[in-house]
Amino acid sequence: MADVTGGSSIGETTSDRGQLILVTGFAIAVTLLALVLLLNTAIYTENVATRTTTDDTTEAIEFRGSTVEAIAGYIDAENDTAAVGARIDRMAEVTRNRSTRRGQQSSVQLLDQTNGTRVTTETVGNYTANETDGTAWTVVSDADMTRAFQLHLSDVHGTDPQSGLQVAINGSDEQYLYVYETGGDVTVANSTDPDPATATVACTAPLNSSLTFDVTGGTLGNASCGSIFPDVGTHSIEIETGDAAEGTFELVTTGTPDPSADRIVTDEAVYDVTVRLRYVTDTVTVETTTRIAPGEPHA
Amino acid sequence: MREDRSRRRSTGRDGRYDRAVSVNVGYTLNLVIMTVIFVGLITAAGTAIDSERRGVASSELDVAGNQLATALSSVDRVARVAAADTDDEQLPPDATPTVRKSVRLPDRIVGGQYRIRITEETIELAAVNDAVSVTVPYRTELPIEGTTGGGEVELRGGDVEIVYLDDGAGGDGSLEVRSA
Repeated sequence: MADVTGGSSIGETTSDRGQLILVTGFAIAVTLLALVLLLNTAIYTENVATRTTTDDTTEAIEFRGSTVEAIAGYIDAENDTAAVGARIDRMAEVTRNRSTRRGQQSSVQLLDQTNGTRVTTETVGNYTANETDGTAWTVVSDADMTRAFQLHLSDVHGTDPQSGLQVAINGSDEQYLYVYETGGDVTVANSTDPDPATATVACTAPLNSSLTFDVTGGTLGNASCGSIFPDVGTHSIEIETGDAAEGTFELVTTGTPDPSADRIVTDEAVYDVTVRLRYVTDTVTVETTTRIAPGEPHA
Repeated sequence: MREDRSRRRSTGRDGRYDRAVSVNVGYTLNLVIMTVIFVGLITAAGTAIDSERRGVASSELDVAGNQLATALSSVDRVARVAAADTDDEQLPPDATPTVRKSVRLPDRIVGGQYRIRITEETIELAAVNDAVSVTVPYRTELPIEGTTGGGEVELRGGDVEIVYLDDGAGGDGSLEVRSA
């Protein structure tokens, strides 16, 4: 037969077969390379996702909280009304420097300050206006706002609302508070009617040497009394039966304390402070205006 | 000698069995088989890559969606705190809070663009080129502007900015999401 093979056909076929395997191998390798790049992107994305960024908004809330707390401390600590403003200015400078160092732009700005009067009793005694009389007297009149009204009770004589210590807050609404003792426990009852018989119990706590009845905060010792300080406009605070209990009290108000009462000592004090807080980073901007009045009733 | 030659002639050259075998057919058969194997392997690899690609796209969209959901929750929290501060009756009515957060999301997912759709309770991210779509739930107390009553907000995939809008009436405002 004629020879149509032409040369060593074994070798050629082998090399052809080898070429195809090589080409296939290269093609699969390139495909796998593309797969590797793809999966690399996925791994990177999932890594970035688990690398939770420090939440800027949490820091903003913390900044606001710690600033408000510090300023409330200044207000309580300083009697000199000018000193609070000076301390806030110093705090603003420190805040600015510290935040700039961290690449942020936080600031505190004092916008407004309301001055008021702090009324306190220096000695433990009856809740009367004077040593000898004044069981029913007006502690504060024409007050737009009152905060931090606390009675530090050392002894309570009355045993029911009629004979207990009566505190009246008169404004557009009226609130009558009765403090009396039953079996070693001090009870606070309230009513919107001047008749003590209509009073309902708000809270009870055991009497001890340092029981504090926080009127604006609504607590008696550790017990919660609810919001017993009414949300009224201009109001006055009166004590009706001052000899029914003994102890001290204090409050800060924008009203006028009784000038003839010997029992109380009045000082000028800051009632509230309005500040503008700014917290700015590269991703978050938070600005808010807040009024700080520690011990104010939450209406 | 004669036996050698006759044996060689009957069995052919070099001891191969090549009667009725044409090299051309053999060669073509080799080519065809190799081509079939080649095409089969490449197709399998391609299919594997395609399914991997969908999986990666789905996972990346899920990550982006969760980042956006987290950002919405955190802005909601800060905005409510700031709004509570300025709701104070003693403050002037123009004391409004400002809350703004920018969220960095990838511009492209697996080389392709994607779209973000926000409804009242979910964020849906869908790749434009593939049929991949992921739904991520989110929760905020403040409503997202444009999603109340069954509406939805549609955005291009990429960096977004979340802004608090105060309604000025003493109540809570709403959040707006827009492309940055």
